[in-house]
Amino acid sequence: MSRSLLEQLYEEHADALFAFALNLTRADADARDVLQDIFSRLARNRNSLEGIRDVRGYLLRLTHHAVVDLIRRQDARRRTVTAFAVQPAELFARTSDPDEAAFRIELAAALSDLPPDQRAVVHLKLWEGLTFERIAATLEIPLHTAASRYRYGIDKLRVRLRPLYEELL
Amino acid sequence: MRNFFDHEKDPLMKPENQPPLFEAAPDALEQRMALQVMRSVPSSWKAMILAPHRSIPAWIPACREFLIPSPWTWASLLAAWVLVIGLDSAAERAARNGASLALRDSGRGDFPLQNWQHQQALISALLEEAPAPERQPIAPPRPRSSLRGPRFGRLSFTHPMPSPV
Repeated sequence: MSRSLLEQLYEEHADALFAFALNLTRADADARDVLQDIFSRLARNRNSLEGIRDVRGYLLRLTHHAVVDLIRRQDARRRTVTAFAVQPAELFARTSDPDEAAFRIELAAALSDLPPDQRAVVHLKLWEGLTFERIAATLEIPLHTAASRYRYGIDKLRVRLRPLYEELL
Repeated sequence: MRNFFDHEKDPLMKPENQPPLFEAAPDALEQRMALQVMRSVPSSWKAMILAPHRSIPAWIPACREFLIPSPWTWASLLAAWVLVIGLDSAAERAARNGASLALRDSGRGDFPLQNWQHQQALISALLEEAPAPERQPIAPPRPRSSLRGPRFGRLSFTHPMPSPV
């Protein structure tokens, strides 16, 4: 793939891929590794995007695969190495509004408590605005599974965020 | 390992002509969640991520995939090999030291050629000094008939012949 096309892809999709990877890994270094992995694969495979209609969905799928691989490798390493407690990376942009800041902190904490499968679906639905069909295609899961994972995930977020949300209204 | 670019018959390639299923209007809380702005990718990463990638030989990731799942196994195997090699070299060194000590104690140096020459000289000196064995005069062969006498004579000692009356 040409350098200019790679740069164009980066400009269009890097933020979304970074947010997705960061939501799943909660570590800047891991998100960077994932992005680097994806773009190096794209650079090596000239025809990797030929025939793809939904490039964003396809890149999100690559991101998901890369995150799953990364977590698997980290799990193998953690069996022998005791990891130090690391502060999770900030997921949301900083804001000067204290109410918004409090809501974002609580939302980030609630998201980190979700299982990764549900978190991935919730992320793609809320912040990428994908339909369940596209989510199912992106994550390579059945449509019903995507819908049910979203329902379970969003219910947990509601339970956790409802008190703060009503307080902030 | 999964091939990321194997996208034959992929739903992402189908035309989007199906109505969305299971979709429901988001409530206010969902909308508020969706409005939260996520962090952008740090600007300093772009140069690093898009840097020209060196081509990595295909066997390196394969080796990594093979080694990473069981690092303890490989580490213990390596430790065992190091131990075996260490013991082997220590034993070899001890044997060499013992042999050189034995040579030193015997008054000879560590020069096998000189030792051999010394031994050869000793042997040749001994051979020259040794007295020649005395040679017995070789008796001429006696006739066969003379051999009977002693036999009968010997018989006469054990079984005396009856004298004629």
